[in-house]
Amino acid sequence: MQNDFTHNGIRAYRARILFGVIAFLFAILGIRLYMLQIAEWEQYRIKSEKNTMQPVIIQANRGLIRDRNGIILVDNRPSYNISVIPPRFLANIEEDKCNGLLERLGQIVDLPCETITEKLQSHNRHYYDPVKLKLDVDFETISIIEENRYDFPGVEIQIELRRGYPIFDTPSARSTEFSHAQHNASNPLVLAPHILGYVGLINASQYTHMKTRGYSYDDQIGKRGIERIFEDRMRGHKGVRYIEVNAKGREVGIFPEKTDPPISGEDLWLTLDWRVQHAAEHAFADSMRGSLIAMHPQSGEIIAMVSKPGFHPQSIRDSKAWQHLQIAPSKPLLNRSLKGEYPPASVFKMITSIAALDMGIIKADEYRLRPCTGGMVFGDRRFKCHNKKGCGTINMRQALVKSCDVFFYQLGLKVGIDDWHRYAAMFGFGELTNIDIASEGDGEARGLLPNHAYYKQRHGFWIGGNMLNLAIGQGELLATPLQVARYTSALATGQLPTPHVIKGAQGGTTSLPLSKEVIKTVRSMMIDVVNSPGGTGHRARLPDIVVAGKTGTAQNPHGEDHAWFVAYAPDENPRIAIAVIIENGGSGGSVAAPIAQKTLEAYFEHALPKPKRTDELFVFTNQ
Amino acid sequence: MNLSLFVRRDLDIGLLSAICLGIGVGITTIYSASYNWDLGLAGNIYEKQIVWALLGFIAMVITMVIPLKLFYAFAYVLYGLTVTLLILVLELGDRRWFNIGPIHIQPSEFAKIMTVLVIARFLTYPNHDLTRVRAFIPPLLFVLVPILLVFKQPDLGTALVFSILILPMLFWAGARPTHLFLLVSPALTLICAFHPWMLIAIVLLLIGILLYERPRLFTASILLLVNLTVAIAAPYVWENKLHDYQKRRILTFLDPDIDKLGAGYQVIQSKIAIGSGGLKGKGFLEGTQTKLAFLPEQHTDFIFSVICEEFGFLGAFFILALFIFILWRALSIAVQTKSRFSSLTAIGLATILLFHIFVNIGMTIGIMPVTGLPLPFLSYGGSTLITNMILVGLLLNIYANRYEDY
Repeated sequence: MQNDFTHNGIRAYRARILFGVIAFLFAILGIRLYMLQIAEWEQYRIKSEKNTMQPVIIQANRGLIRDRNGIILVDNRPSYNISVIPPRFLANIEEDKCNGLLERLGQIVDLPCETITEKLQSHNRHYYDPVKLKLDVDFETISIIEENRYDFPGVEIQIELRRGYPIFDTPSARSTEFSHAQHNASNPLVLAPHILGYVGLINASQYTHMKTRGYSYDDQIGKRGIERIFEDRMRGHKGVRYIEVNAKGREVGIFPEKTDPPISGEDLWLTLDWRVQHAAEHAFADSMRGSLIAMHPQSGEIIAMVSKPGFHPQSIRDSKAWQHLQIAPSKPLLNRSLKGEYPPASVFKMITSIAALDMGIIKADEYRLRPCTGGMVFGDRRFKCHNKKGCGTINMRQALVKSCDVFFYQLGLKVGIDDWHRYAAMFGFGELTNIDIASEGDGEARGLLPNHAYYKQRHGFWIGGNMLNLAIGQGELLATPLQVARYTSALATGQLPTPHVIKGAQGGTTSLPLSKEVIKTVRSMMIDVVNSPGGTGHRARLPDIVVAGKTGTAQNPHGEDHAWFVAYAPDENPRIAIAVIIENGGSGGSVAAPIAQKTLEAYFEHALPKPKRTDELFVFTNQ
Repeated sequence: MNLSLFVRRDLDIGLLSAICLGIGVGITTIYSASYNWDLGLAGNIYEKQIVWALLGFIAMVITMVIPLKLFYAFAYVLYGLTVTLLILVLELGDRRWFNIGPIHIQPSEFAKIMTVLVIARFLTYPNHDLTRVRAFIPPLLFVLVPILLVFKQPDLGTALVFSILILPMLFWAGARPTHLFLLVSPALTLICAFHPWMLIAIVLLLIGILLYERPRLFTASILLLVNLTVAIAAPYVWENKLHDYQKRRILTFLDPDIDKLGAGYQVIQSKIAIGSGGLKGKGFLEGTQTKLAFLPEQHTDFIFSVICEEFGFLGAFFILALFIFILWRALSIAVQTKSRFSSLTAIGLATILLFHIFVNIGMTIGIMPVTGLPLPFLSYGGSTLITNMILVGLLLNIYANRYEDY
């Protein structure tokens, strides 16, 4: 092989073959060019002279977003744009200075003349493409332009579909009677803005690599949330029609047979139930910051997902309002449900309990640990119980109901960091939930579940005092509300679901390697938290349905405590699992539990008493 | 070194002049493409292209003076760096570009040259028996990595460049054409899987070549298995696994007429521009298709159409002749060069040029899909022009050192 390669005769022979290939390919090009330019020249010359046909894009309807029952959460509504076809408009102006026609146009659309000139000279476009001068103008401006249309050649009024958000006033309102939300930034009525996301003008760097996929420089594109992740499915496919123009570029005819109609985008059905979502959003007081997640525990379908404060998706069109949202200290654009990381506090005590029960350290009704006197000394530090008077000699059931810290300090020490970590990891802490709206979107936070190695690496040593804090869900432990909601689902069913928001998405569940008895015991204790006299979660009780839950009050070095509440209901065959957090809200039992209660109430009022629909809504219920 | 001696003996003046001529024609055409009748002047992009050309010449001269031994020695390192850059641009950059201030750097452009170098380096090693399957595996992997990364950007056109350049290089290194056919047979099967008769034809051809070549039973069965899987899986994946929008994207790629608005419109307008040029063309700055802006992307992907409209068949013929001359020079450099590495590199570089030229011109006349591959030396664009100048610098370097062996 080597020899015949260096032998020049063989090389020259191969070169001749390669050159033959080149000659062949160029011959194809040459023949084709000859056909086009010499043989069919006459035909193309005529076409070129007659080439007065110009394409006009027909926008496709963007797919709607519906809730699980088909109620429309996001639709399209017509809006008016004023646009200019620069060559036709500029042909009537002697110089592109700010006088006469430009000045008048500027006054009508309320834009400085310099801005107009700048827009007319933008490059990234086809010569005869209209440039959008002003979007979404009011009817008055439209009529002025319309009256003076012969003074403004090349100025056009275009109707474009924009995203509209139906108003949900009261839970009893029905879909057909929704009016459209006013598009002012302070309107808080849009449901689940963090999940829906928003559309906005494609930006320059996106455009450069999206144009091959049929985007033009002034298209709307999904920027966040579902609008962004499912952009390809929802955007549809643009159509085109052709118009005939004369030498001055005026439309003189149409070619209906050449029209390629647009294809509407796909509608997207979510697992959200707008009535539950509505009730949940309204259960939050205006000043509250926090998150609520309601999930179908067997399938992982998200029934409601709230992040407060919210925002109006249409604010993106108002640059001042948008900037305000971006810099606001309360971070309204942040989806706290997926990206907020908080210490889970006492709602984490079930983990410590499960570990102790499963390892056989203690039984639920055993009085084995030392009594609580309002605190305990470990090492050279005193660890306080939130109940300063002390809880006395109690068993695990009472400790969970009263949320006694001292009991769990002792239990934590018996379990130890390694086993504690193993059980917590079982419930998905410290791991992504892989919810379907996080994959390509804004992502989700992982939280933090420390183990022995973490402390070694971070601090260089591990001390037993850390375990005390971890046992009550404090210390260097962080979880997202979604992780906590998933954990609550797992407590309710014994299986860890993969949460999802898109209807029909394959969730999948992981069975927990725990004995049924352990789960059963913990569940019975969670019922007591809500239903026993003096239980910390009593504010989440419902009249006819047995609710199980747990409060949490997370200490926060930067201010007021965070209030947590997790719950599921009904006790037998749970249909809904909930996690609520109110940032700096204070105590979980008094602040977060009532919000969970209102949400549960709304759910059971609307979702349950329709037996015919239940089989459709809850596919995974009986297992 | 004596400069005049260098020019007389070591400089491929023919190649250099052809490149200069090509760039000159390119700038002139870009001027014409951005010329506006209404305003009576051209945009400033032709000025930018002049700046790019000057930078390109500097890059070319630098490439010319770097000893070829260094390219040989560092081929694997350079390739590794390039792959890292391709991964980084997916993760950190804009998927295709690194944006450093106003400058966009497109690593996939440079990756083409680096891949040629690494394959040449591998095939230089004398112990590879190219009648054996295992000699084919490393070069395949060398192209597969950039193909996958570039495909993710997504830039199908450039991904295809990588897949093509391996064939002539293997042929040049001594692989038998029948083996090369077996190598590309899964791709051919993929294309033919949708037409029963073509599928039968390709399978018969494959079996025929297998019987003639008589490879080991293991190799033969693997080959048949792969082809069979492709033939069965392709229609299934098409029917069941692809979304409508994905299918549409592939169909539009193969047949632009489906998308009247985008690619289809471009090709129709391009053909009208070329056809209406006739024998002599409409004259400089006189192209109506160009000036009334019926033709999109006229200074980048469709620059050849502008030449054809304004300078006619004669102009087009001149451009084709220019390119044939450049390719012939590259081939003859490959023949004359003593070093096996340099020779293989020259073949790889020639392949990159040929593929760009054929696909771009083919696209403007409607016989190739619309891929967005630019026309070397003529299309507007900094990354492309500089890469092509580096490529020419390498060719000139190889020519200057054609008696050197290492």
